[in-house]
Amino acid sequence: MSEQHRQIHFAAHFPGVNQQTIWSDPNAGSQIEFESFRRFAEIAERGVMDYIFLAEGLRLRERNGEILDLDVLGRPNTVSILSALAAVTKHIGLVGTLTTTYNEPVDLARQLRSLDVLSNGRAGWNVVTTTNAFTGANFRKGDHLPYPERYLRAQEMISALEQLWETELGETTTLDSRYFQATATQTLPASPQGRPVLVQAGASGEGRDIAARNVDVVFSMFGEFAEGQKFRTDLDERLEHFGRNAEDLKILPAITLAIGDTEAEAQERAQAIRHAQVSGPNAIYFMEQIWGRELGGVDPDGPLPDFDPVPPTHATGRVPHYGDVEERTALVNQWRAESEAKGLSLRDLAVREYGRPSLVGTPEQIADEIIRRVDERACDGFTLVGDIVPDGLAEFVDRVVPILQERGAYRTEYPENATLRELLGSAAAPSVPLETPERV
Amino acid sequence: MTSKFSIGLAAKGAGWHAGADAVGSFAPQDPAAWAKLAQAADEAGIDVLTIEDSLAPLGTSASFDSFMLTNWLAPQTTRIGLVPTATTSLLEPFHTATAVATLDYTSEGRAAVRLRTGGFASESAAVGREDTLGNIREARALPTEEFERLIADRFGEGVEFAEVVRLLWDSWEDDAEIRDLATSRFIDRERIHNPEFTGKHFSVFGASITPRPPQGQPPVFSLAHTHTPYRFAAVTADVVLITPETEGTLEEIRAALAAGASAVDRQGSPLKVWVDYNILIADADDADDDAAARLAELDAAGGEFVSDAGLIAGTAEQVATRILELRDTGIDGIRVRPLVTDRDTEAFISEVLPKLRDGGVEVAEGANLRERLGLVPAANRFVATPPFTANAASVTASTEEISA
Ligand SMILES: Cc1cc2nc3c(=O)[nH]c(=O)nc-3n(C[C@H](O)[C@H](O)[C@H](O)COP(=O)(O)O)c2cc1C
Repeated sequence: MSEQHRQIHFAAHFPGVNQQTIWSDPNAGSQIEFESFRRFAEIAERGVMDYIFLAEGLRLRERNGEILDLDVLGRPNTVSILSALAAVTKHIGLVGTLTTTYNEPVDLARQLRSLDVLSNGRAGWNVVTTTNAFTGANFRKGDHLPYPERYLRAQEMISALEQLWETELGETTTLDSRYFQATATQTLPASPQGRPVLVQAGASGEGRDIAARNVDVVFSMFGEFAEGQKFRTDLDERLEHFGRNAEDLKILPAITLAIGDTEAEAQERAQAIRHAQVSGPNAIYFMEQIWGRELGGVDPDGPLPDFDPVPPTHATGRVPHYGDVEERTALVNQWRAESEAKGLSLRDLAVREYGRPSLVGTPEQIADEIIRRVDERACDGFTLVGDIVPDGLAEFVDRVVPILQERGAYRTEYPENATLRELLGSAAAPSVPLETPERV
Repeated sequence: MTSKFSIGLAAKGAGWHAGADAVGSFAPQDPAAWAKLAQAADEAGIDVLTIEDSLAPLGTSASFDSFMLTNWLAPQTTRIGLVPTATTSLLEPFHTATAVATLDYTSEGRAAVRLRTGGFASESAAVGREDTLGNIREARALPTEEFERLIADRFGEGVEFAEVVRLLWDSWEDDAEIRDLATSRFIDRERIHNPEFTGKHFSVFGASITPRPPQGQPPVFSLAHTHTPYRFAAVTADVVLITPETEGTLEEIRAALAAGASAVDRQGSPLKVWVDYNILIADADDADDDAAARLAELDAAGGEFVSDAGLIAGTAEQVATRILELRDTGIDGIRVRPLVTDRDTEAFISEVLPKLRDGGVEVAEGANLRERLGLVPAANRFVATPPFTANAASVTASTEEISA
C-alpha cells in the first residue's frame, strides 16, 4: 500500500436486452425472476461496488417491423425492481435509467424520492432523453417531443425534480416552465442524501453540457484509454464553465471483461465470449445496423455484401452507434480490404468488432490496467457489464477486486450507513433554478 | 360453518381518521413501520394489504409511491397480497402495467392493483391539469345525475386504462421465451402480441417490455359507490369494494351491482364483492375506554369523522360478530380500514382475527394470490378466453339510462 492511487469506483450493470448478454450458455439464468436480481445484487455488494445499474428501453426492439428474437428480451419496471432490491441489500446504490420524455416530473420525483427514502439514501437516476415515434407509440402523448428539444425538456425535468426534492413534507411548490406547469405538495420526508444521485448517458455536446451542469456520474461509451482521457478533458472544461470541481463528476465508462489464468487463456476466452454473443443470425443483424438495411439473403460465413450502406430506413429502438452513412461506408470499405487480405467472413468481422471495449487478461493484468486508467484520469472506474446473468461479475469480484484492495486503490468495506453520494465522494451540483422561457 | 371469505387490510398513513396522526404512534414516513405492519398482517394470514395512493397528499401523513412501497415490501413478506393504487387519470398505463407485473415477480405471484380514476383538483394539479371536480366531498354532494355526468369522461378514460393494462399483461404468452439454440432465437415472436390499442383518450401500440407476470393477470380491485363506478368495476375488476350503510343497504348495493354487471354484459368469472368498513376496536376490559370514548378522542384531535364507508366500532367481540354477520350474507370478503393504523391493526390481528377463525373464516390456500382469492386461472386473451369479458363502451352510457 506504499503507492498512492486515485480511488476506483464501480457500477454493476445488470446485463440487459442486447447481444452482450449470452443467453445460450448453460449457466445463463433468468433475466426476469427476482432471484436473478437478488443474486446479482449480492455479488455486486460483495464486490463493495458503488451501485447497481439498470438500463431502460420502453419498447421491445424490432427489426424490419418485427420483434427482434435473437437477443434477450424482457425486463422489469426499473424503479419497481430497484425498490425490491433495496429490501435485500444494505449498502449498495441503486441507479435506474429513466427517460425525461415519457415521464411527468411530480410522479418521477416522488418515485425516486420513495426509492431514496426506502433505501436509506441509496437511489440514483440515470437521466436519458430518448425520444422517438417508435417509443412514443406506447405513451399518452405519443411522438410529442422533436429530437432537437430533447435536452431542453431534460434540463427542465432535472431542475423540476431538484425543486421538488428541496421541499419538505407538506410543503407546496409550483413548477412553471416551458414544458411543465404543475403544483404539488411533498408527501415524503427527506432522504439521508438530500436528493438522489444523478447519472447521465448521452454523447452529444448538449448531453455533455447537461452532465457538466447537473450530474454526479457520466456513464460513457469511451472505455479505451486515449478516448477516455480526451472525454475527461472535454468534461473538465465544461465543468469549469459551470463553476464545478472536476472531482465532483465521475466518469464510469461501460466495459466488458474476459479473465484468464494466463493472458493467452484470457484472449481465448474473450474470443469464445464474442462467438457466443455473435451467432450467424446475430452477425447479420449487427451488420444490418452498419448497412442501414435488411441483409436477409446474405451468408454470415461468406464475404461482405458488395453493395454500399444506406441511411437507416427503420427504427429499431437502439442507440445509433455507428455514425452517418458516409462514416459507415468508409468503415465498410476498410473492412472489405481486410476481409480480402485475411480471408475474414462477415461473421468473423462481426465477432471482432462486437463487444469492445473490453478488459482482457489475468486478474493482475486487469487490476494493473484499471489502476493505470484511473490514476491517469482516463476514467474514475467502470460500469462493469457482465455477459451472463446473474453471476457474470462473480469472477471479477473474487479475483480482481482483492488485488485492487491490496494495492490501496479500492475500498475494502462499505462505510457504515453511507449514502450513495458518500460512496461516490462527490458534492452534488448546485441546483439549477428553473428559468421561465416561452412555453411550447 | 367454513367458508371462503377474504380479509383485506387497507393502510392509509397513520390511519383513516384525520386525528390518527395525533393519537396513534404509527410513523408513515418511516419505512420500518411499513415493514412491521406488512409482516404482522402477513403472519396473521390477512389476504391482502392495500396501500392508498395519490399524487396529492393523503391528509397530513407522509405517503410513499405505492408501487415503490409494495415492491420494497414484497421480499420482506411471504404470503400476503400486495395492492398498490393506480390513478388512471394521472398515470401512464404502460408504466402501471410493468410496475404491477414487476411486483408480481418480486412477490412471486402476490401482486394486485387497485384502479381509481381520481382526477380531483389537487392531484390533477400535479400533472398540470385543471379539474372540474374540486374534491370528493363537494363532488359527492352533487345530485347523482350531475355527479355521474361529471365523472363519465374520467371513467371512460379509466376503462381504456384498464383495458390497456390487461392487454399488456397478456402481450407475452407464458411460453414466449424459448432459448432455442438451433435457430439462435431467445423468444418466439409469434407468441408476443402488440396490443395496437387505439382509444378515445389515448393509444398504446407495443407489447409490454415485461414478460407476462406469474399470475398472468394480477387481480384488479375497484372501490365503487354509485352506478357508473359499479359498471366500471364490472368491466375492469376482479374484486369490487362496496360501502354499505353510506350508499344504501347491502342488498340494495348488491342489486345495483348486479344490474351494472348485466348492463355491461359481464360474462365469465363473476365480480367478487367485498365490503369496505372503517374499524375501531375498543378495549373490552376498560369500561372508560369504550368505542365512543376513543372516537371522541380522535374527533377532538382531527375533527368529526366523515367517510365514504361505514364504521364498525366496538369491542373485539362486537367487531368480530358484525363481520361474521356480513360474511353470512354471502359476500366474498371485507377490507378493513383501521381508524388508527397501529392500534386498530394490532387489535384486529390479535383479538378480532382469532374470533373470525373460530367462526369458520379459514386461511385461504392457494399457490398464488388469484387462487387464494378464489379467482379462476387467467387464460391469455390473445390465445384463449380471458376470465371474464364485458362491454367497455356501456360503462359511461347516458345519465338517462343510468337513472332509468
Ligand atoms: C452509454 C450510453 C448508454 C445509454 N443507455 C440508454 C438506456 O439505457 N436507455 C435509453 O433510453 N437511452 C440510453 N442512452 C441514450 C442517451 O441517454 C440519449 O438519450 C441519446 O444518446 C441521445 O442523446 P445524445 O445525442 O446526447 O447521445 C444511452 C446512451 C449512452 C451514450
